[in-house]
Amino acid sequence: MRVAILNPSFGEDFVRVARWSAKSRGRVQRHPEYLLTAAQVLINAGHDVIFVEAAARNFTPEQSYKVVEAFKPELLVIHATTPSIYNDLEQAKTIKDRTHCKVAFVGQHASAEPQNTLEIGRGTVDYVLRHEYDYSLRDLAKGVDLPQIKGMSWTDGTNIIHNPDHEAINVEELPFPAWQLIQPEWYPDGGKKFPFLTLISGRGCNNACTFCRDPQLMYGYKLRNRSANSVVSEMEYDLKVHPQIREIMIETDTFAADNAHVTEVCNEIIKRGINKKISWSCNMRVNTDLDVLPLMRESGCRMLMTGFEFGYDEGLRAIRKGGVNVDMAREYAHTAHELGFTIHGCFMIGAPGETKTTARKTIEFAKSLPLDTVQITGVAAYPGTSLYKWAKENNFLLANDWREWLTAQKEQRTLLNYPQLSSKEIDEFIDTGLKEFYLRPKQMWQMLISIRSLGDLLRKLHGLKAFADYFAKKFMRYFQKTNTYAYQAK
Amino acid sequence: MAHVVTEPCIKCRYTDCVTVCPVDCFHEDAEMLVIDPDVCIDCGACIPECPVQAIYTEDDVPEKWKSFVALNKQKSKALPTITEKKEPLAKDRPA
Repeated sequence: MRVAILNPSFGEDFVRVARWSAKSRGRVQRHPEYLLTAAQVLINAGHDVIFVEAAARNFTPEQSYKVVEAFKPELLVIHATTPSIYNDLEQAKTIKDRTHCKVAFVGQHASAEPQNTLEIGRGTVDYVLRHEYDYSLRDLAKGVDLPQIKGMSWTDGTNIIHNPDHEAINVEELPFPAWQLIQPEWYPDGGKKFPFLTLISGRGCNNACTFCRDPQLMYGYKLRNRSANSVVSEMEYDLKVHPQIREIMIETDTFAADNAHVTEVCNEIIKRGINKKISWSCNMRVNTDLDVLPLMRESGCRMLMTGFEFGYDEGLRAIRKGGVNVDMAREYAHTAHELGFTIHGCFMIGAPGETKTTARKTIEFAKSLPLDTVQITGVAAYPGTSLYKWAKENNFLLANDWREWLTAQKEQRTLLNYPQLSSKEIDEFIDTGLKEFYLRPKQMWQMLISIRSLGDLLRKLHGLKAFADYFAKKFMRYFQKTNTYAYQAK
Repeated sequence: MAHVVTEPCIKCRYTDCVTVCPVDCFHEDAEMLVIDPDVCIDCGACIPECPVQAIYTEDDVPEKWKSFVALNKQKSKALPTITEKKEPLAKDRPA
């Protein structure tokens, strides 16, 4: 079968496959590793596949249509997101009208809302492949009888039918992503050595964080780590497909959850000498066994993207980030810093029960740690998560329609709105926190002296440009709004 | 490894822990709760919820309560799952 996988554009710089689907404050893009794994599953099964990266490449819809139309697909696959769902439907409809292909939607939003997706997409969306879709997609392309395809919701034209879930996939069976279908240069990120590729070392996350979609909607709570041999072989494969890459980012939610797995991966990297060719980075939790950090460093781990989240224990508890506390986070940060890791701290404002005092605690906490860079975001409650359910039940969610999930600039809009802390105040704390963190002379000096190469300089410039762009556009909007009000007042 | 409910839960049984468990691994008998180690994912969300500090990771169970590791495993297989909060048995213990 001829299968076109499309990552549709949605305004400028929309990040489709990130945790928060929006134009990021750091103006980064994310690699579509999960889609490309599914693409390789299809290729291995003998199907013809194209991947159209319209989001990261800022294609106009018409550009996407032309590429897809020329391919003459029999099946169109789209990773839909909550804020872009109507845009995704519109693009799918145009392609369907022009090519008469079938349309399948995948991803977190479609998994959370299969019924709604098929209802609002009536006449356009034929199938929703829920949760882990690799094998459901393969079955669909193979022509398996529709009622027999596990993990699929579909319509026979009149009724919407939800087939039983697919069982968890044995991750060791999955192929490496079809990186030959993209160029790593399409995905800028000021925090990584550029260009880079991402790697998923396992699926599932053994943590209960109420806001996080992947364990709740896609891959479950059971950690399914791939073998160290497979993980490191993928690194070698990445270098073969794209020899220009300078880093691999392990994007697994909780790469370091299993100490034995991390140790094996690090030892394998050293054994094969990959640490002499490129660096690698990964996502981290602060309750990682600190004893494994020196080995990670030795094996070429450069940056730790760490989920600190909040600067007070009650906030961590409010989103059920288990097994961690602020003291632990502080010890982790200092240990990692002393070992020479670059640390990117991820923080949030807007936990259930958040107040101005606690939001301030998080900002002060971020500033007190030896961090190189930070991101501060509003807690987002996406459909399908327990946080979303709680927020809806308590009437703390501002949006009533998927169209209301982003700002007009397609940036993340804080939708949680509490009696004691409004969404506007959460946004103000985010901006204040970013400015206070980055505009400290000490921080600016640290960033300046950490420049060791042209690559470092370019990364910092990208970050600086993104920072300036975000705040300049905000200022312009504020200025225009003020002028409009002044004009209307006249 | 898994998490383990220990002695302080006996005749106490605050059930705050069950409301945060993402995989419904708690089971109850007349006196206490136990965790099914085959279902528990070690997320640790239940630990701070327990007002009497009865829940530990398997490695951290105090020596005097080590027998609870086997007890949780054995009892959980035969007992019903509990997913909703109930009145505690010991209302006079700290909340």
